[in-house]
Amino acid sequence: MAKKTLTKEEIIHLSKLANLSLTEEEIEIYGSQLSEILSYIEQLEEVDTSKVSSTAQVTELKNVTEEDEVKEERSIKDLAGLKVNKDNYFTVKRIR
Amino acid sequence: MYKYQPVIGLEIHVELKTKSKMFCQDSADYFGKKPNTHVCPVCLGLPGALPVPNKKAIEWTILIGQALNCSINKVSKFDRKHYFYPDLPKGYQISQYDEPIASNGWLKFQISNFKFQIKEKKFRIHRVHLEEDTGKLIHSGSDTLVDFNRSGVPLVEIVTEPDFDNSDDVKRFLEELHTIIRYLGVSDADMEKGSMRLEPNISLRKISIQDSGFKIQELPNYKVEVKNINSFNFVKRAIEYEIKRQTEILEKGETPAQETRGFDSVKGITYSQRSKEEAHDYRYFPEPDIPPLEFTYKEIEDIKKKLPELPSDKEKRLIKEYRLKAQDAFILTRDLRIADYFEKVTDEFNKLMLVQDKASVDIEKQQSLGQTIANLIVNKRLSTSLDPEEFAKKAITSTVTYIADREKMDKAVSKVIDDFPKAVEDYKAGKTNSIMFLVGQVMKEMKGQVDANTVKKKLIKILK
Ligand SMILES: [Zn+2]
Repeated sequence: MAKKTLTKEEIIHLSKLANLSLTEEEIEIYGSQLSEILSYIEQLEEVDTSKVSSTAQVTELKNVTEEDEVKEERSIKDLAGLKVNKDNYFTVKRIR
Repeated sequence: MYKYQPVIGLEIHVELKTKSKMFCQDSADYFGKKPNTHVCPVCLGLPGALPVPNKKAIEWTILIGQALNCSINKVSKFDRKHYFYPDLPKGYQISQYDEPIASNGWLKFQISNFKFQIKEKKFRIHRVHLEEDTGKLIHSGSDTLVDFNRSGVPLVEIVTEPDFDNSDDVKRFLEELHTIIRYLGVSDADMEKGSMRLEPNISLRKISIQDSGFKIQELPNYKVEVKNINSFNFVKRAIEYEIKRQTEILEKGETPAQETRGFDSVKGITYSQRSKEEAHDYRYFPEPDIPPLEFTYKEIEDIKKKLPELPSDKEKRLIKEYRLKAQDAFILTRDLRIADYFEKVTDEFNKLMLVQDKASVDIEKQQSLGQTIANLIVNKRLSTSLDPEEFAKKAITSTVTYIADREKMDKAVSKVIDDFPKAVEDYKAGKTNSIMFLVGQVMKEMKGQVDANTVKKKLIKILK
C-alpha cells in the first residue's frame, strides 16, 4: 500500500484553512495522523470504478425543495445566553 | 510600437425578493428590521439543521438565466464554499461550483458611441448561479457587530466573460441588466439598499504592433478585482482609475499584483484589500445535505413562458408600432411601469377619439399619435401619476384642434391680416418679432380660446 505523507508545509497550510493554531509538537502528531487517515482512505483507489459514473450523493433523492413561505414559528425568538449586545447584535472582536 | 487594451469582466450579485430565505423559512425581508430576529438553526449554522432550497428562488434563477439567453443545465447542484469570516456562521457558504443553474448566455443592446453613432453590441454571459447572502457586519469600537437577518437570503451571481474593453460599455451593460432584473420582478435591484452589488475585474493586455502592421497580443497574467460597488458611476470611475494605475505599473516594466481592491468613492481611487493567493483556497465540495436539482425540458419551457417582453425588445416594438423616436422609446422602456402607462394612455386616447366625430378633429399630422403621447410623458408636460384615461383626456385637449374651432381661428387670422397690413409688411420685410403682435391680435379676437402656438404656426404658413 502506497503511503502518502503530508509535508510540514501542507499541514501548516491546512491548519490555517481550518482556523487552528498548532504547536510544533502538534504539527508533528497531527501530521502523521492525517497522513495515516489519507492512506487508509486511499485503499478505495484499488476498487475498479471504470464502469461507474461519478456522483456527489448516494441518497438517490432529487429536487427536495420548500415552497416560498415564511414560517415564523421556526425563527429563534430569544437569543438570551448568546453573545448578543443590548441592540441584539452578535458581537465578535473587531476584525478590521 | 505597442499599446495596452483593457480586459474587463463583471460579477454581479442580485438579491432575490422571495418571501422566505434560500434554505430556511425565516422572512427574507431584512431591511430595517431588528437585528437577528429573522434567524433559525439553519441560517445560524447550528449543528443538525437541515437546509432545504426555496423552489421560487430556483425558478427565478432559471428565469434570469433565460432572460440572459443562457442554456439551463438539466442537472445542477449546490456546493459548500469554505472560509472563515464572522458574516458566515457555518464556516462555509452554500453556493454552486461546477454545476451552475445556467451558463453560456449573452446580452446585446444598442450603444451610441462618442460620435453618437448607434451600434449593436453583444456581451457573453459566462454563468448564472444561486447562493446565499451573508450576514451584515458593523465595525464599532473594539467590536464587530453581526446581524444574521440577511444571512441566507437568496443571492444570484451573474458572471460575464471578459468581453469589455471600456468603462462606458460596462456602465451601459449594467444599466441594461438592472432594467431586465426589474422587468422580471425577481428583485428590487436597489443599489442603495445593496440588493444589487457590482464587482468589475480589470487587467490590461499588451498589444505590440509590428512595422508590418501585424499585431501580437499578450494575455495578462494577473487580474485585479474591485469588490462590492453600489453604483454604476462608481464602477465606471473604479475601472478608469484601475486602467490608469495598471498602465503606470506596466510601463515601469512591472506586473500589477493579483489582488482584491476596494473603491473609495470620495477620493475616487481603489485601494488594496487582500491579496488573492491567501484567500482563494475555498475547498469547494458538494453540499451533502441537499440532493441535486434536475429539470425536465417541459419544466424549463414552462418557466420560459413566464418571461415578459424584455426592455430592448419592447424598445424595438414601440419604435415600430407607434413610430417613436428611438431615443424616446429608450427612455419610456427604462421603467416597465412607464412603458405600460404609455401604451395604456395611447389606447385610451384612441378610444376617446373613436367617440369623437372623425370629421371634427384634426390632429397635428407631422408626428404619430404615439410620438405625441411620448413627448407629453418624456418632457413631463403631464404627470404619469394621473389615471391613464385622465391623461388621455388632457392629451386630447392640448393636442387636438376641433374643426369648428379651426374654422373660427381661420376667420380670425384672415381678419387680423386685413386689419393690420403694416405689421404684415414688417414681418414680410424680416421683422420677425411682429408675428407676436399678430398672434396677440388673433388671441384677442378669439377671447383667448385658442392655443397661441397653433395660431403662430398658421400665421407663418399664410405669410410665407
Ligand atoms: Zn433561518
